[in-house]
Formats: sequence, structure tokens, C-alpha cells
Amino acid sequence: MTLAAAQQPARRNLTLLWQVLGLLVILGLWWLVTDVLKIWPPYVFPTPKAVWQEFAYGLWGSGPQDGKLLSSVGNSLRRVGLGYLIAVALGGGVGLLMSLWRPLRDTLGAYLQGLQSVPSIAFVPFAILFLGLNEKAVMFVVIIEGFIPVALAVSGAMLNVPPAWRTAGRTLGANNFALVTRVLLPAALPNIVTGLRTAWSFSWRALIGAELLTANPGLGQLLEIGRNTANVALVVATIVIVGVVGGLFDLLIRALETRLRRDYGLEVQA
Amino acid sequence: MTVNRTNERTIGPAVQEFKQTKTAGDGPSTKLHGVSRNPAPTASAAPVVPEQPRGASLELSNVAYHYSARRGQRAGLGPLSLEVGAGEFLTVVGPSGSGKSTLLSVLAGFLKPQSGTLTLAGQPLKGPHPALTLVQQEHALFPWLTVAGNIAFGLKSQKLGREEQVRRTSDTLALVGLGGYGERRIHELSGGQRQRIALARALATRPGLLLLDEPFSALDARTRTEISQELLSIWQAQRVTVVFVTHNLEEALALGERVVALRGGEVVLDAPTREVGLEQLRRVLNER
Repeated sequence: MTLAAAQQPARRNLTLLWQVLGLLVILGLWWLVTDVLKIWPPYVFPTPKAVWQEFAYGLWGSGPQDGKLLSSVGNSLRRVGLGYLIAVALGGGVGLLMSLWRPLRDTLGAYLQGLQSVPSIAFVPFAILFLGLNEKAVMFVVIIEGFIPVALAVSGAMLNVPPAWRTAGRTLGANNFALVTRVLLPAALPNIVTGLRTAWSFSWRALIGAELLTANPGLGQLLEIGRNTANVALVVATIVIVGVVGGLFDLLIRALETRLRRDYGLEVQA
Repeated sequence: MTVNRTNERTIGPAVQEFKQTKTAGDGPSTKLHGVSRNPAPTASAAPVVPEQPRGASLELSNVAYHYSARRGQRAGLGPLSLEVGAGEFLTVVGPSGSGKSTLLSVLAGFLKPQSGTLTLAGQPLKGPHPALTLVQQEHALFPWLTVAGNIAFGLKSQKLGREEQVRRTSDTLALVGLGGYGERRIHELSGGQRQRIALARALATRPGLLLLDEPFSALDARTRTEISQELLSIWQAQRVTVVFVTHNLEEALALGERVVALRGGEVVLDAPTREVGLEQLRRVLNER
């Protein structure tokens, strides 16, 4: 116990060191193929410096055309934040009902499972035709993509609660309501949080795809602008930002998940 | 058969110790069947003396439960009639498939018997009842709660006041020798400590009937002896009615005042433990 605890920060630092080294190697190779070997022309494959300039203009630049990246990040986060919250609330409720009521699980649960294999981008044309070429269409896709994994995770996690805990709850006087709120939900929480993490990455991806196909200011649209203006540096810079923002939130939820699993005495993935 | 033999070997010395404490310092007592009234040294921290005997009497008459043919793997029960006196310590033994678990599930209210009636303290028993709690083979403690939170779980169900919950929680923790462990997490406890907390969680609700389903079978022999001793002294102090189910014959004879042997869902022996020998028990259960 103490040994493992002592080893943990050391291992974490080592991992971090390797990750930084890996990043430097990638940057070095990138620099090598663009600036030194000049394999592709810069309008096809950008140099690190050009991408860095896009960051500088887009994130903290002060010219009249600057700050686009920052405002796009803001727009996208606002959209996905609201959509994700709605998806979690809706998915949580429906998942709970599915876990408690078998007919719903056998019907809706099965359909959702199937629907999950439809890529989010496939919903965009429908959303545009149904709701118009506007923000609502984007929200629709974000919500649907977040809702499905949350509903399935909540339902699955509740059903997988070990029977011994149910028995313990009932023998200690919990009625049906208390059994759900004081035993099943807390017991299912670690797996529910895993579902929340999946839902986040689904929602985030769906958002970028939907923004790309609809004309809403956001990171997805910035990709489209980059393509239209043949600004490949902007496209690459936007991809990096999408990855970083998505990854940061994933890290946040993962931290919560790890903490929960540790408290519950479950094994923690490295 | 081989399994039983291994158990015998590991549990053997432990049982000897039980037997010794059972006979040592035996006062003139008719009710206790020779179980020592002197509290065992391990449980000297047991301070809670109940205001009055709490044990509830239990009566089963012609109770039967049989699984449908599709789920035919599990053992059925009865029809079976049984009386357990208030404050009695009854052990139920039997090989797997003898109906022990079915009996416990019926008693705990998780299975509705197809025929017959159950009464607890003279009242008909239908479904889970606040006056009885079950301690399972796995400790089944809730890892999202602290030790104190686990013990208070049943007290919250009983809608006790906050102060009373805190008081009972610390009393019960002291009772199982784990005072000061209230804020620990479940995964920080050893196997023996977990099972002690599971016992404490069941006792905190002040049940009239305590059902124990092989609660110590996952523990090593030494811990098993210690915790069994503690259970005995808690029982002596509180006089809660105990139904202790085990497949371990030595344990059944060492712990209980009275033993009931089940085979094929029927009672094949029902006698005070002091009148029953291990060989006799093996014989009626067809174990050799």
C-alpha cells in the first residue's frame, strides 16, 4: 500500500517525461519534412511556424481579423456544454426507467443500441431538413449523440449492481425508492461516469461534424473556412484545438472516475 | 467430500478452542446449554447491555418452497415446521443442495413460501421485516459509504434521529472491537474487519432475529475463531435470536445451542448441540 503510493508519483512523472519527449520528436519530424526537406509545398502541408502563427492570431492576436479561434472555441463550448447537459439529464432519466422497467429496456434499449452504430454525421442532413440550417440542428445532433451512451450506461450499470448489495439494502429496511437512490444509483456510479466520458467524446465529435456542415460560428465552421480559403495552417491549428479541448474535458471526467474507483476500492486503470 | 476434509483440517484447531471456552467456567445455567457466560477476552470491549432481552421467537409451520422445473437446479424446501425460541442460537447445517439457502431466503422475506405460515414474535411474517436482518456470505458492505455510513444505513431506514444514529453507530463499532474505525473506507479494511462491520451493520438496527448465511466462510481459521467468539459474546450480552447457516459441521456444533440438519429440504436432525456428536451429524447427513 505505502510502497505503491510512493511509486505512483514517480511513475506519473516518468509518463509525463515520455509524453513530452514524444511531442518533441513529432515536432522535430514535422519541422524536418516541412522546413528542411520541403517534401510538400507549404499550402498543402503547413510548417510548424505557420500553424503557430494561426494560434497566435486566433487565440491571442489583437488585429481586426484576429481572435477567431478563441471565439470559435467559446461558441463551440457553449453549444456542446448545453447539449451535453441536456443529453446527460435526458439519458440519465431514460436509462433509469430502462433499468427499472423491462419492456422499455427490451424495446427502446435495443433500438438505442442499434442507433449507436450510426455515425453522428449521418444525422446531420436529417437535422438540417427537419430543423433548418441553424443552431438547433447542431444541438439536435449533439444531444442525440450524448444521450444514447448515457442512457445505455445508466441502464447497464444499474442492472449490473451485484445482487448482494440489493439484498443488503433490503434487509436493512430500504423500501423500493430508497433501494434505487441509496443502493443502486451509488453502486452504479463508477460505471455511469464511464458512460458520461464516452458521451462527452461522442457529443464533442458530433458537434464538430455538425458545425462543419451547418453555418454556425464554431470550430467546425473554422475548418470549413480554412478549406475555402486554402489556409491549411488554420485547418491544422483548428484540429489541434479540437483535440486539446476534447482531451482536457476527457481528462477532467477521467480524474473524477479514477477518484470514484479508488474510493470504491475498484481497480484503477493506469 | 475432499472439500469437507480440507475444511476439517483447517478448522479443526479452531473448533477445539470453541469447545474449551464452551466448557471452561461454566456456571449453573439451564438456558445457555453450557456456553460460557464469561465474556471472551477478545470482546471485553462489548459494553452495550440491552435494556431487555430483544430476541424474537420464530415459528415456521409447514413452510414449503419449491423451484419450478425450469430452474430445477436449486434445492427446494419443506414442507418444514420449526420453532426457534426467543434468544435462541440455532445453527442450520446441511450439504449444498439441502435447502439451507432457500430456508434463509424464505426467512429473510426474499422468497414467498408456496405454502405454510411464518410468524416472528407472534406476528405473521410476510416479506422483509424490520425486526430481522441478514448477514451474507460476502460482506456486501457499501463502498460508497464510510464504515460509519454503512452502519447508519439501516438506522436511516428506521428514520432515527441524527444523534441517535451517531450514538448507535459508535456503540456498535465498539461492540465489534472497531471503535474509531468510523471514517475508514471499506477497501481499507481486512477481510475479518469487513465481516465484523457487516455484523455491526446488522446489529445496529437492533434486530430481534439475526440471520447469518455462512458469514465467516471466506475468512482464515484464526480470524474465524476470533470473530465467532465475538459473535457468541455479543449474543450472550444481547440475547438476540440467531439463525446461523453453515455447511461446516464443526462450526455448527461449536457455535449453536441447538442444531438443525437439513437434507433434501427436510429436517433430519433437530437437537441441542451438546447432545449431538460430529459423527452422528455426519451420519444423518450421509457424509463420511
